Amino acid sequence: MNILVVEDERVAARRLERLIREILGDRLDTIHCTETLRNSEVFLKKHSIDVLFLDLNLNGQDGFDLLTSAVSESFQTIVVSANTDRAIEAYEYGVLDFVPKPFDKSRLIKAFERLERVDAHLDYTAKMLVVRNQSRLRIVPVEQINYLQGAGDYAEIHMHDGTKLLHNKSLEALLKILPNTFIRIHKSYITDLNFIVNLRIYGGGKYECELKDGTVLPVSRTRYKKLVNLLEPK
Amino acid sequence: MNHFKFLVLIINGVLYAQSVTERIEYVFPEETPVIQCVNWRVASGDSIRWRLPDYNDAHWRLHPGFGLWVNEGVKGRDVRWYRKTIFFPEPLDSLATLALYQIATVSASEIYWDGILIARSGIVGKSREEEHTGASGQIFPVPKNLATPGKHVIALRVSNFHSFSGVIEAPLQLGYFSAIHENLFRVMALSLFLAGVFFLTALFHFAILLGHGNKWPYALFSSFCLACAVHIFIRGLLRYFQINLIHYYSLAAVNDIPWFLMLVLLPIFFLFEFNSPYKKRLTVTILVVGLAVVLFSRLATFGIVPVSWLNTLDSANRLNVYFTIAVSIAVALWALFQRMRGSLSALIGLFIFLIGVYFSNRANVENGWAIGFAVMNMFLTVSLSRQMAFQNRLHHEADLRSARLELELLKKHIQPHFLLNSLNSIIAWLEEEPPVAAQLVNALADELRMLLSFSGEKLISLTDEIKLCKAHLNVMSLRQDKKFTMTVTGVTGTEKLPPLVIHTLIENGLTHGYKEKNSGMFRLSCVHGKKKIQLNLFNDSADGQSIEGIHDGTGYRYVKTRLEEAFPSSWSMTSNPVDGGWEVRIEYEGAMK
Repeated sequence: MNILVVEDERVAARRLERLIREILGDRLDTIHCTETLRNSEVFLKKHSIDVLFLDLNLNGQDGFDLLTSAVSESFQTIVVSANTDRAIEAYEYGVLDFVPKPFDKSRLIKAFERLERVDAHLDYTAKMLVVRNQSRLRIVPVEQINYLQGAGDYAEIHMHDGTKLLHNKSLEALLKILPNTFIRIHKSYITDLNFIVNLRIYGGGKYECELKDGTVLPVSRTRYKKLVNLLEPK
Repeated sequence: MNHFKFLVLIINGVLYAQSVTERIEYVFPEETPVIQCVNWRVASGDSIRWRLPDYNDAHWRLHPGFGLWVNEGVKGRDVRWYRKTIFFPEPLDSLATLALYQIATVSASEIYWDGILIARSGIVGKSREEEHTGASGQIFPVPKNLATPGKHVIALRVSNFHSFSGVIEAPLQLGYFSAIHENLFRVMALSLFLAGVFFLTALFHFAILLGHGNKWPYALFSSFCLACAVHIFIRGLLRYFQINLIHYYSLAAVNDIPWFLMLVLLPIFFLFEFNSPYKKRLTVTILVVGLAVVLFSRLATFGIVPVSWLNTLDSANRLNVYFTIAVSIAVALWALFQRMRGSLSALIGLFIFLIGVYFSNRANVENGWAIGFAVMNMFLTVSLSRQMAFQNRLHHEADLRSARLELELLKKHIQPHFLLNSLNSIIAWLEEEPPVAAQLVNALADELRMLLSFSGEKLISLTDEIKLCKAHLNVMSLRQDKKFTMTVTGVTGTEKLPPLVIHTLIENGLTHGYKEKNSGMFRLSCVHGKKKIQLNLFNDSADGQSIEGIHDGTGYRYVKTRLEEAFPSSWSMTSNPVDGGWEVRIEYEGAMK
């Protein structure tokens, strides 16, 4: 696992790095700490990381500037901050976790659990996805998303109005931050449970679901039963 | 009544004098239910024959029937007869009583109707010993058998040995008893009403004064209203009550005091309320002129000042009234051009007062000037109330602003973010190097103690502020494992400034200037000028990097607000990159306690 820590207080950064090393042990490949926003951007251009630990009170400048940019990237972002009053806002932007300062080791372990477990449900989830379109950032409200389709390491966002956007995160990564109604119906598809209007079974283990707007998506066999269970109470 | 003061009578006198030769006979009833008997024939001396209706008085001098004897170039001490003829074309109302009313006629008087004595006020005599003073405000009925249709001769035998000047306050009035009474009642009711209005306004403004100790011009206005109330009340008393004429003239003289106060307090109030230029010089002028005119006029009626000056003094009195109004209007106009609050209502009030004076002169409206005064009074009260409401709002806003600043200050420096980050660093040190954690806890405690004790103050000493800054640098050094220091030069220990000004600037410097450095140095130099104190805060921040936007940041806004609050419009602050770092310069007038 490759990790970047952006923290302007040296003592705090040092401790965070030490704790991460203790928790991850061998699983940690690299860890790098930067003090400033500018340096973190430079670092990110050259290195790919899995997790960003971000102090939201970044040198007085609005940490959300970097946050918006960070959440559009392929890595997950975990905010570490004393500004607990902005926690919900951070979740809405699509951060994986918000670790309030001061914190202990167990809280940090929980953060890593969220990162690694597939079915970890968050109390707060993203209300928007930030999509990087060339150099511009576009904020996509979650309720405008019809379904998501995996495309290698990326995810294609299909909107209700038919437009498609490419997000840097993988389907797995997005599933972790999206609201709990978004479920995986297929290796390559995620959609909102509430949009499914019909389930079809064809011979030969072929399953499909129909969305409100008529789109038909494939459903994998293993996920079909789960889906039936989820939809049954309706 | 103070005949020489009230323009009413002076003007009336002129009007009657003009018509004296035209008509000698009076016809009753005329269009008015009560007639003022002017146009008399007058002679000095005493003869029992002069009472008779058939006595030929054609060679007697013409006289309006009222005024000052001394003013006519004759001696005040005298016995005199006044005669006039009236005519009743038809029989009078058999159920009504005809009556004569005199306000105050020298010292003693007798009234003869067709040669028959029908009324007496005191005892007419040829010397001070023989004479007994009568009373004011008397209504004498005319016996019904005498009030027959046709011609009648009224003869007035009067003497004056008890008052110096010899004054007949007003012409004898003739009319039905009920009409005379009703007139008097109307005058008295209006006087009491106006006196009440002024008295209440005086109380109101006095109460305001008690509530707002620093508004002493209210004391002037309150006294002005009180003077009006007293003057009008005494005037009412003199008209309606039967008062021994000796006391009557003394009371009239005493009533000069409120009159004088009315004349001077109004313009002085305006001068100070609107803080006009030359207010002290003008106040002295108004006082001297007012006192001279009122005092000399009164002294003249006692013969202490030459009686021959009376005509001049009459004019001076009249001019003085207009002078005080003119000063007041000028001040109100000036205030209006300065866009001062309340100046417009004051001006409107003054013009209404002027109209009141005009009408009481021209149209002979009794108490017209006082009604004008009352209306002006109302306008001024409204204007003062509005000013007061405005000032209350300002006070309230200032209080709120102060409270908000204190709150902001506490929030900014003892806000969760500052404490939580510090706690986080303490944990880090506890795990790494416990003794340093203890140092950080102590440093944080030092800073918090000072923050709590300073936050409520408006000004603190620069020495205390520096202690706080050093404590803060200590906390930040330990938190960031860097070395921040502060050096101070030129501080004498007498300087005062709002709390956390330097602290906030240092905080700004720390946030914006030391991203990649291991140490930082702040240098505060204090320069004392003649009046001003100059504080230069230098920091050796990394690269004089772009600090755009920070001038409008909350930190700078806080500093500016606090400086403006403590040194209104007498401070300045500049913030510029300099060689090797950044410098903020604050200048303010340090003479403040």
